[in-house]
Amino acid sequence: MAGRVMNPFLVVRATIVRHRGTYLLFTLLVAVATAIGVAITTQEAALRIGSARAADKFDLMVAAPGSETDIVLAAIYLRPGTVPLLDPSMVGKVLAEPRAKISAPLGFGDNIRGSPIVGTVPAFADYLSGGLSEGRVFAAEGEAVAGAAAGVAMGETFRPDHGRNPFLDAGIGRVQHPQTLTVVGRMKPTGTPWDNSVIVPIEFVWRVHGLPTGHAENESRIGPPFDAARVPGVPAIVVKPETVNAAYGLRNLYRTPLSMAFFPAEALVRLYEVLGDIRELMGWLALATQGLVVVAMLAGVMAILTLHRRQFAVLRALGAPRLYIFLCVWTQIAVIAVIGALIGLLLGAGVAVFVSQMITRATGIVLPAQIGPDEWLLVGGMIAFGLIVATIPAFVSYRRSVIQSLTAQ
Amino acid sequence: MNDAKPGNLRPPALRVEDLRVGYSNGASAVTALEIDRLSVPGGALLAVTGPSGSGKSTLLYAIGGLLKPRRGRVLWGERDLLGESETARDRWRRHTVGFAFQDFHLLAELSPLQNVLLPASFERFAAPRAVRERAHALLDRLEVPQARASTSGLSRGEQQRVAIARALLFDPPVILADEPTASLDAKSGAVVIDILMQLSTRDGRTVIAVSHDQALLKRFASTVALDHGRMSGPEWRAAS
Repeated sequence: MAGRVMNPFLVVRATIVRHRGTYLLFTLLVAVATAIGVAITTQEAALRIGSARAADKFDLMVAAPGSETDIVLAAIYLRPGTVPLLDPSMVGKVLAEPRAKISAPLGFGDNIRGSPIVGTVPAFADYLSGGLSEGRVFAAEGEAVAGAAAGVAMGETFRPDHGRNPFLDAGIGRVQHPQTLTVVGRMKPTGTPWDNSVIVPIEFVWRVHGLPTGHAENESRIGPPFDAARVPGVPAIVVKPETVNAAYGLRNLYRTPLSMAFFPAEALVRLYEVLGDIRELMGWLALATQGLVVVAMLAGVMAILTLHRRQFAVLRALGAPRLYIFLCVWTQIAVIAVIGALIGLLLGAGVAVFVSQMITRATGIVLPAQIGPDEWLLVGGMIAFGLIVATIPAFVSYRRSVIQSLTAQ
Repeated sequence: MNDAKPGNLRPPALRVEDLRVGYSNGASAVTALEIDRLSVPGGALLAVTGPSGSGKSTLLYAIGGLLKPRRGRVLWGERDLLGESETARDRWRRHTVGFAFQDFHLLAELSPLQNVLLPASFERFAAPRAVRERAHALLDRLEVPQARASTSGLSRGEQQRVAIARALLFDPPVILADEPTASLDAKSGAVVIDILMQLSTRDGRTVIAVSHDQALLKRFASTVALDHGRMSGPEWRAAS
């Protein structure tokens, strides 16, 4: 009847209560399938946003010809690994570049209690953190600025360990440099691997490794200008150009047989393309999982409905319109789909946050795992799919002959 | 009981003409029911009996408008049931016919009251107060304990009484019962037989019960016997 309001919930409730174990299982299946999809998309987005943020301050990189990815991993994400050194003649030129606001050499090789010690110029330490949270930027060779999460205290004086690994069991191959560093400032949190680093004057790194320090022998000041004739090779130089035009000009200028220049953001985009392919693959897998779950659920519901044939026939005998039977079946499945998908959304977001925190702990990169439009679309799609698929058993029940069900024993 | 007003119910007379119900049994078509003529006056108390497979349940569902016969007419008063749409038949059945079954078919997860109110949910989202009060009154009249969350704890006799209360929710002038006493012991069966007879003799409803229970057959006013889909009777006699 047009305009007639029915209430199938009495029957739906009774049915769900009777088969609560089965329905709980169905709901969990839907939840898990949804959670897999949500976790994959959320995590991928978080990884992309988090890694891009970490590269924000690294406008243009100049390094020895080789793998851009290796440079990105070493310089931005501070992953241990050997990269070829940029030729000293190029180092001298880039450090003296007039179109650069900041031209910061990066020197690695030491650590203190596992925190990498990175040598650079004072301006870059300040730029990276956007002003310090306490103390001041280093002004002399023996001074250091700690990252927000680095395990050294303000005012602490220490001797750096050579190499990139902490020598926790002291004595086994441990080489300490004789020179000391004193922490004079601490950076604000940046959400990048640099939060775990200790930043020192590049001159200190050069000196402890027996290299020329970029200044005259008797000179003790740090930072630019450097004496081009007295700089050693470095793994990479970060250049912050004065203008966008200058950025492209500098990139072209330093693409030479001795050096390569690139925007890390572009290198990351290429990485994301690979990541995107993986995501697409995983997305299809998640979709296939969801499809399988829906099919399994449908088979289960069909089995339950066979048990209910008589009950529905009885309802018809009591005067229930066919639409009522349709609604009873459809509502049962809709309840599973909606509750399952919403639980899946929470579960997926929870997994993504958990994984993000693990990655943050391991790399220092803060990954903002957030439920965005993509996730809502996924959950909405799962619900819509469930509601549409639910019409199949509902229609089957709608069409079923009353008398056959009533007289079948 | 305020619904015991025979004058208000005026059950229509039932006429079955030239009814042929068949079903397909693999290759061949089998005729399950072959009734040339059956007349049941309004307010009658009729038992339909016969061995298993004789077509007695089929007859009950045919006159309840639940199946489509191969040919023939089922007339309730002036109403030609088989000429109507399924939707119209559903509505007619809801308000005209109360069904009771051998196995009660209650929703065990619901309370007795909710079971009785179930037919109200076919046409309204929430049962109006008057309908709820009527449901309470019906359960009281049939002496069903109401303070229960589910019907699973009730005795079988009590469960059948809940089912009869459910059949009476819309105060239908016709009651159709399919083996109403077959799964009850003699004592609860006798109570149910009393109730069914009262619905006819006191309230003035037409009550048609399919049964092979001798206790029921002995007390009902008239009996139709079916064998292989063919009918003998009815034999009318005074209700005992």
